[in-house]
Amino acid sequence: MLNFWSDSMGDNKNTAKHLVEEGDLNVSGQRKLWHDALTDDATRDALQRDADHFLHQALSTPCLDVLASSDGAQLTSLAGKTYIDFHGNNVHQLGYNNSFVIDRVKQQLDILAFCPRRFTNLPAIELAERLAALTEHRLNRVLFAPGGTSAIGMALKLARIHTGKFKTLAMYDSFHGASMDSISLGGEYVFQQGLGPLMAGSVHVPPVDSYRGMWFNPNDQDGDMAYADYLEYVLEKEGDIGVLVAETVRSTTVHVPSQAYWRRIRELCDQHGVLLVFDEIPIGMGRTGKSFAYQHYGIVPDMLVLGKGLGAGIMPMAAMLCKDELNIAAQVSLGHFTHEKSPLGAAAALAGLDYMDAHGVLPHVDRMGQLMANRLEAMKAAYEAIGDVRGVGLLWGVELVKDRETKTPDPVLAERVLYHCLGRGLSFKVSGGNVLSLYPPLVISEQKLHEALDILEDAFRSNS
Amino acid sequence: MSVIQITNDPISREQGDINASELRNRYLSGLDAQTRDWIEADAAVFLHQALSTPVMNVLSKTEGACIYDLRGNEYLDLHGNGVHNAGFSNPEVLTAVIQQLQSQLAFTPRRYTNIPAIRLAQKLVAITPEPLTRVLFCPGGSEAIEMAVTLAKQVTGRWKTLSYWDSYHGNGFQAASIGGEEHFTGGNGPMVPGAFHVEFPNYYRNPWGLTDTEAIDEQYIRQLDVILQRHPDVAALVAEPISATPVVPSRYYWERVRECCDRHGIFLIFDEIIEGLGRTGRWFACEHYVIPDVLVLGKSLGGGVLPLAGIVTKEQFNVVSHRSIGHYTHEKNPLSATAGLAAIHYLEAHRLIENAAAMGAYLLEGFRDMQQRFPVIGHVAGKGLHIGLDLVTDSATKERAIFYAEQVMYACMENGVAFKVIEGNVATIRPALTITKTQCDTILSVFEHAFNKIKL
Repeated sequence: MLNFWSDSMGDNKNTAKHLVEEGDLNVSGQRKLWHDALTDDATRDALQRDADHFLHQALSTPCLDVLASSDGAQLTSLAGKTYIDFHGNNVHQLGYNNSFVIDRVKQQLDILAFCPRRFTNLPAIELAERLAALTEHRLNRVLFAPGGTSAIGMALKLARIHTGKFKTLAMYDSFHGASMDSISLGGEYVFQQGLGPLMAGSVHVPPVDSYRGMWFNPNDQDGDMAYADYLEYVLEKEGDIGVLVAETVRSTTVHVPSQAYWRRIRELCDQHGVLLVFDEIPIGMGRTGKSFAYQHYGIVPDMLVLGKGLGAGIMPMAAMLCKDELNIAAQVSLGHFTHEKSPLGAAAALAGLDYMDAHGVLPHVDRMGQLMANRLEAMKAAYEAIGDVRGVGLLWGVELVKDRETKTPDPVLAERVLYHCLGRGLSFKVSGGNVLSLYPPLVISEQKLHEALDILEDAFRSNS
Repeated sequence: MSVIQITNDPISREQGDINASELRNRYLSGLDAQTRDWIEADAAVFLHQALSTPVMNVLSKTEGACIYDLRGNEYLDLHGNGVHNAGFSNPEVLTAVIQQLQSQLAFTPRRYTNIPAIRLAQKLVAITPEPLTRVLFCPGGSEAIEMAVTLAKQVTGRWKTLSYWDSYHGNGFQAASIGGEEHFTGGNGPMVPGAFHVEFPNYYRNPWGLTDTEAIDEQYIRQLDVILQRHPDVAALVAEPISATPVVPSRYYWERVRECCDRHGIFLIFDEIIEGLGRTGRWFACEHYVIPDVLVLGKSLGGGVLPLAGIVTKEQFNVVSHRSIGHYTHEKNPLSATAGLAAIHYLEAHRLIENAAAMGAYLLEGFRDMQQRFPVIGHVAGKGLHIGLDLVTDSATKERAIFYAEQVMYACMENGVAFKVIEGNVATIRPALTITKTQCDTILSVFEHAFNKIKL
């Protein structure tokens, strides 16, 4: 019996309710059963050491398993068990242990691994130029940071300096990072609770929800326009909002707004002098089938924030890209992060971009995305518990309900399906309590994708 | 060169030498055409920043205590953004990183653990002072500061913070609010509420004209008391044990602050992002003083190769298992952990902490000796390889020699020694801990040459 289980959740029911919004927890009964069933001594020993030394966190320590290696779409545990990973914290876009990327990173290690910030280096410049080119030079100024949270902070500062306005507008339920600024900006109570006063002027509006959203009109192709109308109302009432930060497509629970919605919001931002910032930390770099998700919408944001997959599964690396006219903060330091121009991070990212080009990753995402859509829709037709299937490219959410009419969420089933799949070698995350978040690596083979979806289907079959 | 526009806006020099000065332009115009082309390309695509883009030069390689530009010119780097404790491109760190890449585990999602991450956490617990037993990682120091403060808020149920003017703890809004520099908050509008600041002790420039250390300490402690009488509900006091310039406080000062924190139930958070891992001649600067509730590490923790930061705290504060105070993608990055572990092993095996103490003492003695000959050196302070020279136009008035300091910086740069100027006039000397006596002699002679050549 591993002895790191505590009753710390007991007096925190309220927290638990909000916690599941971000992901499946490590303190549930199902998790305990999972741990009790681990028999490999080395695994149990490592998990115990992990739990003994790390600060416990609801979504990490104590951990699910110990990983020994990874390759392509798969993780391998210390005990030799494999998991096809549909989660990967979204850094696994190009697969684990991508040898093309690793060779380039190894080469760069022999040349120049780090560069103090007052100097520059060729890989950093090349990456900045390459990213600007991917935006068709619409966003041609770049600033790097080691993590997405920090890159969001840079965007917020630049917006304040440019507009002279400090208020932010963002969506409820959104996650933009774990620091005070990004927590204030984001709309998840679980991260805000207990922190005292947050950043002043953090205003929120409801996000588009095409399944259970209170303002969604299912009879209209652009049924989400009421959300844009409300956003306009808030911009007018608040009067001095400087920036709107949003995930172009919500990643965890997967909501894909209509083209009309984002086009209207782009207009509204222009009318009100509000900068539009898209957070594509989890979904940029090809996840939706285009380099950047905003490219589905025929608009250009004023700033774009990237992270996670940008480091090609190896390096912590994030970026803020913006329009040239926003290059107005030369007198201050928006970033000032140690690894601002990491040649190693840049080499990894450049290798990732080269790999995507050379291997036709974006067209592959389109094909695999279609395959996934077909199979998930077929599962929905077969299993009553699937209330909704939503997605784009290789970003999918499957919402589980007790009853299709009332749409009552079924978090118990979601967790059963999760542990059923984990047991058979498929890893993913549960978001919002009842949404299976499915993000395979973009390079997953058709065969592997079928294999994974077979496991998922088996879970529905066994639990229906 | 057209990349630099001399701006009329006043740019703060408190954090470092700035990139928009006349001397910077003169330095740039002396560089070769190829280098200048790359500097232009860099300036065309990166967002301009007062302390980075447009940059000074282009690097092609780094090794040990040195960095090299495109022309192959070598510079002993006394700055390195603090990642170079085990030396740049440390061969043992690189080998370990490459092995880890080959063992097919460069990243693990946060719900899984991995052995390199556990080993690094165990090692940190072993080398930090005894009560510090719980670790949490993230990619950057700014984020680690936020984790420490969030932990304090969650444990105490309070939200106010106390910290020091002129300090730098990172550039997220919370970290910048705690920091005490206008450069990182000016123009940003409202910051995170509840951030109170006091002055860090300064024995050389104390405003009361006192000379007795303890009497000076009492005055600074009084500032803390003034705030705490009115705001006893502070969650955390955040500080670098030794300030960046550096001011090396007395042990008495930190003992008094520790008592004060204990009395009011305040978390004492030490930011050792720069000072930790051997720089001051001990594994951690807090070992010269008192044990904090949270120790924050970064920079060299990534072995000079990868971004890695984290906190180490006491067992009794492992009470946030229902929350996510970190929640960073790379929380247990096995590659970063491997780099950090290899760097720590290298520091240990090559006795570089002892080397930092010995070479630091040697440099301090050399600079103090130089001070006798050059009155422009108003004050020499330091601990281990964390040294600062306070340059003044007049030893009596202690007026900061700002233009002079910048001239010295570029003169040293031309002679192969790179360093950073902070607060406008303080030359900071923080070489790799691998530095040899011969390299220390080079540093001393390059400075001596500059002081000889440049007249006030």
